[in-house]
Amino acid sequence: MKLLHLAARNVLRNVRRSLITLASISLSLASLIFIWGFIDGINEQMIDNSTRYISGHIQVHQQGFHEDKALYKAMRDDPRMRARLAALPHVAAVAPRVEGKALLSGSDKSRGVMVVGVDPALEPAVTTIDRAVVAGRYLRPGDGDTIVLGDKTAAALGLGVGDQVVLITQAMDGSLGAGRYRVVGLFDSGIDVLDGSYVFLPLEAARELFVLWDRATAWVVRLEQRSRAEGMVRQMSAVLGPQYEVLDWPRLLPSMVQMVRFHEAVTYVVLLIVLVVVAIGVGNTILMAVMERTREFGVMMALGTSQAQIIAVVVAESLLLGLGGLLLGNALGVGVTGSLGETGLNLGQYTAAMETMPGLSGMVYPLVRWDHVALLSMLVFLISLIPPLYPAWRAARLAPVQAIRGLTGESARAPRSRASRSRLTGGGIFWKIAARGILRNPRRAVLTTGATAFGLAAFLFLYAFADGFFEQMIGNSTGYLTGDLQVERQGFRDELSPGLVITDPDVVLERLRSYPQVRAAAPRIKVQAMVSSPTATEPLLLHGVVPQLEQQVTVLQRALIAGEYLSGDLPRGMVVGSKLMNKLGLELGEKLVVTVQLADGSLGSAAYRVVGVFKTGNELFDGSLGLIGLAPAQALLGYGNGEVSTIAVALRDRGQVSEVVSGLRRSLADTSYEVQSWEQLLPVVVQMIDLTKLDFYVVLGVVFAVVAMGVMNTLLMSVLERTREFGVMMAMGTQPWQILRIVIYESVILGLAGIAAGILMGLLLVVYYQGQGMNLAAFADITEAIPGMTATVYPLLMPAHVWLPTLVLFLTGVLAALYPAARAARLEPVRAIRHV
Amino acid sequence: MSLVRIEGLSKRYRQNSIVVDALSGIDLHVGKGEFLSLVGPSGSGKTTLLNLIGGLDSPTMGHIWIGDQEIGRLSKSALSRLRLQRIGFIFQEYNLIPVLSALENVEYVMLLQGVSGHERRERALAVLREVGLEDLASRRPPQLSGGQQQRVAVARAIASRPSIVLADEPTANLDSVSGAALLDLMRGLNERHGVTFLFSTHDPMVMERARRIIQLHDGRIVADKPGMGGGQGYGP
Repeated sequence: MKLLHLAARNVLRNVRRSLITLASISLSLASLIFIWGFIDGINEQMIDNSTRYISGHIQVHQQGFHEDKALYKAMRDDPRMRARLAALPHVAAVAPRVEGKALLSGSDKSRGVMVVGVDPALEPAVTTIDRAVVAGRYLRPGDGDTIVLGDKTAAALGLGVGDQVVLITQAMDGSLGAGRYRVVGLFDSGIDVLDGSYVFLPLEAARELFVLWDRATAWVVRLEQRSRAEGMVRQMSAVLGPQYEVLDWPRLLPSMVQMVRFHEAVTYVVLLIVLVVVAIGVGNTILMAVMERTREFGVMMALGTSQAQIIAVVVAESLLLGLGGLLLGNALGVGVTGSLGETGLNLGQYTAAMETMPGLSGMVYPLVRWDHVALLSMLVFLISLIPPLYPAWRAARLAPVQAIRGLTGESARAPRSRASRSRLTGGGIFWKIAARGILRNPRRAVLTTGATAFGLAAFLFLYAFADGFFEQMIGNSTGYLTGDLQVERQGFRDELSPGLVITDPDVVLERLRSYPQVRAAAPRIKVQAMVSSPTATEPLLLHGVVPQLEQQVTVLQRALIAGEYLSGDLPRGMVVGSKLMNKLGLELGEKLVVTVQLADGSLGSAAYRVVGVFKTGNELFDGSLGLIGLAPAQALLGYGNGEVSTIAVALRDRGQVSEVVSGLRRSLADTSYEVQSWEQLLPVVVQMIDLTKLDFYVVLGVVFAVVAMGVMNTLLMSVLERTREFGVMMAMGTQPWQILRIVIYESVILGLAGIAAGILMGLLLVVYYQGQGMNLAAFADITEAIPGMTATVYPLLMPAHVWLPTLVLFLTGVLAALYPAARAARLEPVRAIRHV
Repeated sequence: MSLVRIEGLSKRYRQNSIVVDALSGIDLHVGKGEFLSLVGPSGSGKTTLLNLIGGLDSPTMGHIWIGDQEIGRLSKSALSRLRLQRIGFIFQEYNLIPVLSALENVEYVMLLQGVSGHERRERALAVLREVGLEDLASRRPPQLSGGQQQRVAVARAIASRPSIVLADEPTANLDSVSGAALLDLMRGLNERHGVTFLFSTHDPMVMERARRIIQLHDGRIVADKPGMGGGQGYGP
């Protein structure tokens, strides 16, 4: 008899068992393919949209421009050289650009923006921002002083199509460049950073603004395929020579590449955990299917089958089931992932969070990557092959007569009689039968409990990691910048308009101090400005503070790496972030000039000396924040004495924030002030938390499915095994619902044991890493791009976040028992008794 | 009045296209206190008849009364209650509940009947004493020999005080010494307490002890005669 033939017959003989195994393999594989496809899709979109909208695939600059984007390093825009590039194979298009920073002003508000001067005829062949125009039109060849804005910029400054705006900047020659432009169009790319801080001018208008005649800061190249970028960089460098630098998109968008890499690293951890849970689930199912057949193997051995032949039959069966599972799993996984890749997955409620990530919008298009599908298929296939070997090997080593008796160790081990002396009580008998029924096959019980426990432990740990991560993010953000809540004039948060001031801060401070939960409060002036050094101009979020009060609310002074904090003795002093210092090319003690738009629309500027440099490890703070004294800020903005724009408040316990905020809102209801909690002040952090939760629900879904399948399999096998026993019980007058109770009780016991073990394992892991901290040094650069994040994460288990998933997991296990329980209860006694 | 009354009973099995008449035209009365043996070769219909009387299976034609209840008219759950209150079963393979001790197995049916804890234990211990297993009461089935397990099964069947005990080949899995001991035990219970036993067998030793023998062949009753163990019993 051919081995494979025998194996195929065995697989077909017990259709239900084979289907359970197949389902377990294929559903697990399909969910793994989907998770990875989902993440790949997000990563691909981030890269694709970022290169498509703004960076292009390759950029050519004058040598050294990328390191130091000083305008004097702009290159000559040589049309012949550009034409040579465009003629290279695989190059789709080349376009020149002039890029620089400027202060954009509407009627009474202003903000720092990135000005991109483009050739309206050439640019649409390279990037596609023209297709994102939602109002008015894109730039046209022959346009004069026109401008296209992002919708978020327009909303912040209260601008629309047809309005006039002013751009002010420091030109290439050091002079103050300024120009007036008419808004002809608004775009909405769905990407915050573009929509909120990029503006587009015709190339010639930008050249005039920055005084860059005949020059370009960059040639932007689009390739036929993005994947050719690396090779084309070498080719172009050879054509252009050493006075040019040629950069591909990973070097142009380093923070995005880091974000993608970080995302991938997180994905690998999540996939690994899911894979282990799946391995236990699939292994468990297969293991039980084989263990159930010990008696059959005994008969085969009694008929002269050798040990090796038995193992070979089991392996052949696993091969067949594994292959079947692979086919089904791939069909399902690739089918679902691929079709969602076509239609897109609408994460509507997470749109805001997604848009804060570079290149992402609310629609995610999962991506089937065949290398990933192949890897997962191989892993799941191996997982399905290995577990059956153990029981087959064990069975093969038994004496046939032992195996025929059904072994599983039950007859060999004498149960302790102590237990049997306990009294039977009414309902207790069913609990007792359930508990002893589980113990009858300890290995199976341990496997099922183990799968539940591991799944739960992994979930608890991931959640604790995320909670720790976010807690630190919130702690740093509120500690360095926002405080726990702020009081401002209504509308100030959206517009940062210098006209919206708090005229009577003492009254507000007094009311604030009447709350026992308030630890400290500090008045501030906050304004969007431009800061210029002799070589560069950068946007600046300027804070005017009272040093003694500010230090009670925020702790930026602790992050000083050079110089000192503000004090009354240094009236013209300024404390600046380390990244901003690098961008400006400044040293401690040097001067800088701050320019702001005043409430009446005119410009004000003043010079300060850098007295201190701080480094929080966070890009956002270190790259755009500057502090001066409150009085100099009032002088700069023309505020009256005592007028401020914000009062930042620190509470004794951040947990009380909603209580204090609602109390304050009532007490300030008669004024034009509003109260913002840290959640409203740091929407990005809140959105990132929401987004991460979404990831977690996907993981949790897989864990649920695997645990449910494990519990169901265990009980189904155990019900099938005891068919005759249940038949006898029914013959003696046991009612079907009483049989149902026994099986459900078994699931309750298995579930409780799994959850207890899972919580214990999870807690141990969390406690261990709480002491240790998880060092993400490998991703340190990346974590700095996330607001308030630093390199070491201390996991934090918040019971409020995990009790519900735990409960649902438990209920899932119990619900999964309903099918086998119903099967047991529907048995016909006479057939059940005959069952062998 | 008969304890069990059977009229015109037939059972037809259909497996794929093959029709098997397991029983046809059975009429039978079993009185209270009888010790009755169903004999016949394999496939003659003994087990089918016991299953039908026990309400484990339903007839194709005919009627069965246990006392004044016609079991064909009962719902599934009423049948379940009937088995619980009036019928005891003994199987060829003992079929004790493996996770419960001997004592708990005996108590189990009484527990379903709602007998109070104290009385249940007293009665279970008394019955175990009667079958000679008092000392092994706390052992679980895997720790007992085949003969001992079958004695627990007998104890379980009578502890709930059923009207009739149905035993399907009770000695088939036992050696001759254990089998004889078991039959003496059942016979003693029949004599001392008037428990009605209806058992199937093709063991000559069993026939020797029966007081009435019904012989089946191809699903029909071919003989209904006094057994060799007759005389001092409660039989008709």
